[in-house]
Amino acid sequence: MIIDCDVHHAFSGNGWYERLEEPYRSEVARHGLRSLSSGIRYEEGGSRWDAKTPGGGWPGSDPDFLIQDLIEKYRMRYVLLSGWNGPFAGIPDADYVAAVCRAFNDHTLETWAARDERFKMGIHVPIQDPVLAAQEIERLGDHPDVIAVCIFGTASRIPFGQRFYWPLYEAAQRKNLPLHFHPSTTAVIANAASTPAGMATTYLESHTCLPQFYTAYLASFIFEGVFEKFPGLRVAFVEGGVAWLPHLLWRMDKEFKALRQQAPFLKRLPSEYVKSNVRLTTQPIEEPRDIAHLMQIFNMIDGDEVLMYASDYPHFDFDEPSVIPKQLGESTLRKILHDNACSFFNLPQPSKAELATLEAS
Amino acid sequence: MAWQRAAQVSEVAPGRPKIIEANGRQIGVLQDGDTYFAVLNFCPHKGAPICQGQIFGAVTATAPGCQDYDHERRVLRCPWHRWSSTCTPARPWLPSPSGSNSSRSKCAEKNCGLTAESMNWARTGTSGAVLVVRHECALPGRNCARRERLKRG
Repeated sequence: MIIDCDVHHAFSGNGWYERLEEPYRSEVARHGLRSLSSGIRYEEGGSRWDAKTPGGGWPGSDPDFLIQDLIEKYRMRYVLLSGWNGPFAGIPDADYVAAVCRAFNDHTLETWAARDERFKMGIHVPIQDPVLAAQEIERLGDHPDVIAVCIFGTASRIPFGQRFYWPLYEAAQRKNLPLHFHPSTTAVIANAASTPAGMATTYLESHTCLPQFYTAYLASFIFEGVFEKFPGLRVAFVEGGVAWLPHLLWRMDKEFKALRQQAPFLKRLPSEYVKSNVRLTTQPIEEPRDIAHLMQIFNMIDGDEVLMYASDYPHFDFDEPSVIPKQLGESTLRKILHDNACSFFNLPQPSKAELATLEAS
Repeated sequence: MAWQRAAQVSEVAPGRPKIIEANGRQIGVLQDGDTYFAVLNFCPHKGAPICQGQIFGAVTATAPGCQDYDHERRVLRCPWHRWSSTCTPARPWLPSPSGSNSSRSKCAEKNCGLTAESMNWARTGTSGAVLVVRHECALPGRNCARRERLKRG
């Protein structure tokens, strides 16, 4: 029984531009979507070559093929559709981004979510203006197929814990929707630079450095007191792997003990907020020389509670469910592959009939 | 080693390999320009169907800043994670340092095949217009943990 927390659906063709409100519909029809470039050739990573649709379409653009190539193949119960964020991340004009997000979300609901009950989605929101983002959460947050709010990781001009974002977090908490942080496509210079240290030369380099963003985001969430202000807010960091977390937990706890007067509103150790409010998805899982090293990392971070499986289909760093080490034991495997995501995204628990089918297979 | 008729020349084209079964395993016959290769359809990294990958020339470098491109050195890259196998000689071009005794590189080179000798990259020849493959197609070595994991799915 599997829930996949990160699946990149795409749209077949550009028909969804028709959903844009004016003046953006005319603008995009004439000039295409706005974009920013970092000069990095991400296609070298990009999508799995074998995930092109039977009609030769863009990987992830055919719901029926995605069901066959991913959901049926690995017998998944739900997949979280996260789409792509190139059209939104880093674009400075929040009104434009809000309009593109609305069109994107509506098109996903109609052409994907309505098609199969296993499709769930995260809505995209304009983080450039958290009040507009809250309006989009208000508009779609009660839809039964909306299970998360997608946030453009690596695309912030302001660290994510700061009060600037709090209207967005208030809305997400009120609608009981967790935040799904996903890196922005690194071809896009959505941040001040493509790594925290500056402009990377290659996709290889920038993709390797993704966890550095998450390290900074998580410290900001904790030390700005977001989880004291919004104790019901849940945050998932997606596509950063897992091995960066022990370092951060230990360092945050140690620093906090010395400098707690700089975050006097915290009532618990930083690592305790992580355990209660934060989850990581496993992909792209680290591949150490010795699998025992990965198991030790899992133990250090209470992986059986903190981790959730994601495949990143159809991208080149796709992880099959089998990458979660079987040595963790059946109960932990089940939590990482299914149970943790089921409760984190507030999805229905499996029915008796589903469990019986599973046992029989 | 066994010889097996694999394909008519007309059945294979660049980017359109022919997959055959040999002792329960898949071998793909691929065309690259005027040359034909045969390879076990199984990437030593995660078992992906490597024959759906693409063949390129090799980007090489003798030192930082000295990148070069060797069109004659052909490289098959996996469709999933882009791991590379060199076509001539036929063996994985693993992203681990040469001489490394990492378990993966040992596994791939000694137990999981893809070395020039064990010939998952089977030799190909032409017999009239029919491509023939010589293969030694076996499961990865008995003591290979990866093999067990892959068998279990």
